[in-house]
Amino acid sequence: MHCATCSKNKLLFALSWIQMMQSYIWLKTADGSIHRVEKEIVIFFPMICQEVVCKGVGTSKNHPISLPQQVNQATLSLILDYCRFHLVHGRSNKERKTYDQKFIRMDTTMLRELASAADSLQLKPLVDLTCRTLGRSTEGKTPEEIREILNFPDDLSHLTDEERLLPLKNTMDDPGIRLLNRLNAKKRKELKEGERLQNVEVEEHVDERSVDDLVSFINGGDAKVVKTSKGKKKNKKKKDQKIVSSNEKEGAEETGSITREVEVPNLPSTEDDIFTPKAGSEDGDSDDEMDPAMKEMLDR
Amino acid sequence: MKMLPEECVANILSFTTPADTFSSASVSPVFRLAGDSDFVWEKFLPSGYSRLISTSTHRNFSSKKELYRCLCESVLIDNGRKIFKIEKLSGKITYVLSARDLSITWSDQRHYWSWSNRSDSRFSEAVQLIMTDWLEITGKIQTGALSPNTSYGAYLLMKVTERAYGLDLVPAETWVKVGNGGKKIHTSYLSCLDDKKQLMKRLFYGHREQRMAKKEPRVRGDGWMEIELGEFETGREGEEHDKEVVMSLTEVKGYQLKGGIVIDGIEVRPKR
Repeated sequence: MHCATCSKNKLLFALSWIQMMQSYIWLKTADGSIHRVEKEIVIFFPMICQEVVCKGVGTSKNHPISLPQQVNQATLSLILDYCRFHLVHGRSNKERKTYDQKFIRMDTTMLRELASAADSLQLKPLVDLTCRTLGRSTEGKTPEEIREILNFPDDLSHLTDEERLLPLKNTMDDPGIRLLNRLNAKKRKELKEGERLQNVEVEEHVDERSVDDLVSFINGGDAKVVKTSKGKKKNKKKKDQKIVSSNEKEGAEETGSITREVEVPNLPSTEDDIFTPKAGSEDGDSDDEMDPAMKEMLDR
Repeated sequence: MKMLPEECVANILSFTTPADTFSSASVSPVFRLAGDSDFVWEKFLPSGYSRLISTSTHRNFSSKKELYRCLCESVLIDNGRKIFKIEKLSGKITYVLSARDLSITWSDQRHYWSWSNRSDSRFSEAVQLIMTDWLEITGKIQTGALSPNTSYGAYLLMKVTERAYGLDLVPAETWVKVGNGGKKIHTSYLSCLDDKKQLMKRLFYGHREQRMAKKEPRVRGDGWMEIELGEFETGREGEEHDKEVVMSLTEVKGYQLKGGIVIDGIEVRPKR
């Protein structure tokens, strides 16, 4: 009796001792492959530490720790190489720096993936190293070049048509942004024209009325729709052209931190934009737009 | 294709420059968000900025970016004796020491120098030379107050009045000294030389007096002129001890009396 329990206890003790002495951790990457890694290298990763200590996962092949999806095989092996080097004590700062310089030499795609992976594993030194390198490679580049380097699509697709065309803040007076804003402003106007013509139900015809007629029409009745057709091109004085700013904010979903200032574009316009009411939309606004526009017409 | 998360983008931007961060807003919405984040602007703000703003203004800033913008406007500090400013595109620090902050020999003597409130001065007072034969102006600043790893130039901000005299006969000596380093002495005239006088001098002295090595004051955009006193480099952050930079202009070799310069201060700004 005594011997049986004694030996059972010894066995249990031996088993748990073996488990504690396990020097490997098992990890699973996003593509499903399982990797065996030396414990001392990865145990200080915040998430791995948590999984092993709190949840008891990762100590056997059948229960590997699932790594975040940003970590694939290639990036994992790079990360492990990096950690293996730096965790060795006694290396001088110079050695570490030289290693880093060599380590970081890879194409930008790899760098990007590595940055993402390191970020998901909260490995601050590696994140800083990769981001510093990426920062250096994007310094002084145009937005288009940056999009290419960091693989960002020209993606404003989650915004509506209107929002995409709203002017960007241009505090540094960047000529690229200035041009973009000008092009967008032009496009906005074109869109507005297109929309208005779709919405207006009255038959399209060239407005032959004289200025006086128009004035009396407007003053006399409802200060509503006085439409012009697209075909008519009046050349206006460019300077004080005021475009509707209030209507443009319709339907725009904006997150708190994106703010936009609406510019008053100074473009010469070949399209007639004096009257910009929308049938079916706020008529109150039409009145405001009318007056300055009317003044301009009368001034001519 | 997986894109970088916002934190990564912010991290990347923090390793570029303020100029890049402003212009990269149009890359993508993520960039715009990252470019507005406090994380990025905290890195661009000069170290010790909290001490500066607490003494000069009590505004509450809603973001570090806003604070950065505010510091790009000139801020009066140290009881109005100095002006602090950061260059918007690079984030580098510029200081202007007021005339009161400099040591000007005999400036306390009413008969030699006159202090007054001038509408064109950036400070509450500027000083005008009435007459002296010993012109010596010195300013001091700590390298620790400036941006690290930067080439700086020191410039004397001055004007020449209509009734000025004695300024273009003998060039002044200017130098800048950092810590215990040596000083390289340059020369510069105190006023722009008159064309006629130049012609006469050339006729009389021929090649003996070559003007090439001697500079003249340069006209600035703000209505003042500046004389370059010298240049120096700031070391890496924290590596060296804070060193004292001494910047000076002296004209003591000519025995003639001079008068009619107005001094607004010394500007210490990054060189291109």
